[in-house]
Amino acid sequence: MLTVGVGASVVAVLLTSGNTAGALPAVVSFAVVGFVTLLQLSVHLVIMLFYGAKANAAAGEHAAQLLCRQAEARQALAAAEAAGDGHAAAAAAATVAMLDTARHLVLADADLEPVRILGLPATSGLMKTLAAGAASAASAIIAVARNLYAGRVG
Amino acid sequence: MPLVAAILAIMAAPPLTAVVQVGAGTHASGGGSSSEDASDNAISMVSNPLRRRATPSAAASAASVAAASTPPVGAGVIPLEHRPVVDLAPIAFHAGAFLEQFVYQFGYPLSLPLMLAVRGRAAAHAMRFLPVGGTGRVVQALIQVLLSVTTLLPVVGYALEAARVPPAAQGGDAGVLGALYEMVIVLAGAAFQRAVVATKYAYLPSQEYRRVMTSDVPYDLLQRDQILVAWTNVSEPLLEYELALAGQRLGFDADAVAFTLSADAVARLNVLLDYRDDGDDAGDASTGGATALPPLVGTPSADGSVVVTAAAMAKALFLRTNRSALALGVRLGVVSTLLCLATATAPMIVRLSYGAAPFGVTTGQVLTFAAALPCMFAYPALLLAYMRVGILDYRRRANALGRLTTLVSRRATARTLLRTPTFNAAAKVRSLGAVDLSPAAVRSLAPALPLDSPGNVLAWLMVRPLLGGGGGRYPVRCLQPSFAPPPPPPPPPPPTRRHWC
Repeated sequence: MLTVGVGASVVAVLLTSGNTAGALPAVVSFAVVGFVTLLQLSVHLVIMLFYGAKANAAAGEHAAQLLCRQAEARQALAAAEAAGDGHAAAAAAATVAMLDTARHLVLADADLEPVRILGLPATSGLMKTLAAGAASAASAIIAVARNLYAGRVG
Repeated sequence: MPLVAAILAIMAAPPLTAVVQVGAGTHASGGGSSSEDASDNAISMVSNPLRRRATPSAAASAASVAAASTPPVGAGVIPLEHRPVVDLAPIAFHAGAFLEQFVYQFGYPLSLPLMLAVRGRAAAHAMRFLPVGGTGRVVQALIQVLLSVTTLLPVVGYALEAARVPPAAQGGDAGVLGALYEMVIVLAGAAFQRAVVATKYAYLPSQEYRRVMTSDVPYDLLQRDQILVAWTNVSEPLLEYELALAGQRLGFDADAVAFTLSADAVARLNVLLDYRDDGDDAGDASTGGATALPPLVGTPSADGSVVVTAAAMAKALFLRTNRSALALGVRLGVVSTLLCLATATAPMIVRLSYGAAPFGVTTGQVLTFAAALPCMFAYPALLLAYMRVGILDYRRRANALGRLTTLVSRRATARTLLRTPTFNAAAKVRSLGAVDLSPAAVRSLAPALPLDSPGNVLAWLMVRPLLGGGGGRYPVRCLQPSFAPPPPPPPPPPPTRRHWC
């Protein structure tokens, strides 16, 4: 979206630079090539962001699953202790501890080493922000184009 | 590192003291702490879990007790860290290599004499700048020469146009401006594409970069490690190599960390691995026919259980996300190619729509516009091809992690098993009325991958970084070939499992 914004700026400058009418084909060609290329790059970035956010979201799901398995292991531990089965209780206690450690590791990993796009952690929130920016850029481009067209016709 | 010792304590300590030993190990790690330190902190955790250090007297009195139950720190421990433990060099950026490569690439073929003088013939050969050494190299070198020479033509055309501004009937200043714009587009595209190639070289480890630039690497080896060829459609040998490399960087042997499962659990795993009710990766999920992927196979042990290594699990998950990623890549590639073609021809169409000659009038215009056409297609197409590999890589990782989720999920297991003939006679059930939903029946739908022992939890924990880090050098290094031959077969793994399993 940043590249789209830069591209929009370049094209806006070109279209408002007061070139002669004969130069219009060159200006329009430049604008079209720049925009389509920038658009493709942006779409690719957004797709990467989508899958990066999906990978990051998996960490939360994994932590929740580990918590569920930990709760089950605690149930087993309590049941074994109630039954006086020391061996089973010990095994369950070790599993509980390991699940707890693993859950913390997963969460820490998600905090410290998330999948990043352009240096930013890929999240659905970032996608929404970029989408809002893209919509704003598109509306600005349309407004500029309409003003230019109205000016030329007028 | 606290967690390393925590796992050591859980694995190695007698079961009844495991929870206490977690605290013991938590403070005993961090670069090879002594067993005395471990015992010191063991006592502190027993007395007060929030205390970081124990008094010397307490440590001394408990040292013998803890030493008797705790092996030396580091023995049999699977290293854990939130970043790769070793081998950070392959993903470091080297500015010198970048600048050198950018000059060679952007200036080619004019830079060839400079390169031969500085680096010699081997470097030019490895970079496929010389059309010698077999059909593949010749073709690639000729394409490079053709594209590079074509890139220079708009510059020549613009120089001709600007040197003698044509009369108004032949475009006048507008013709010069058009030639200028198209030259800028071509040069900018070339600069971006060459910068990407230079960046790939810049992320090579220094030693490997020197080797590439000084020795003649066999063409087959170059091709096998090319990202656009190799990492797009990953072969099993390359995947195994990358997973082993990821394990090495993380500091553990992925073949020595294993799940211990029942035969029934392995059967369930294979069903779950090959089944997706949303149709995703359906092509990978064939349960028969030529396209079926190999099932997950473990090693039977004496007690009737089956041992499945973390590497095998990661490989199975990764392979089952590969085909749909490729399909996505093909779709994106078709759309992208068409858009690049449309973009390249856009200036010509615009000129036609304004009643001008599509390829200009003067010699300079013809030279510029005709040469810019293939360049405006080729450079964006190449750039986007590199970006597509990044998309495939991200998608494979995300989907593989998603599949890992389903393996430990009761919900995913229940949804799959209820709809699979292998496990349910009323397969593809349309109504829950046909399903036994009694508490006992629901309880029987255990996760396909049971995290019911510390060893299984640890192995599951190791699969995550393998999926996240396997092949990580490709996207990080902008998908550059490694030029590195496959490593020699590793020695037999040390008997680490007996320490923690």
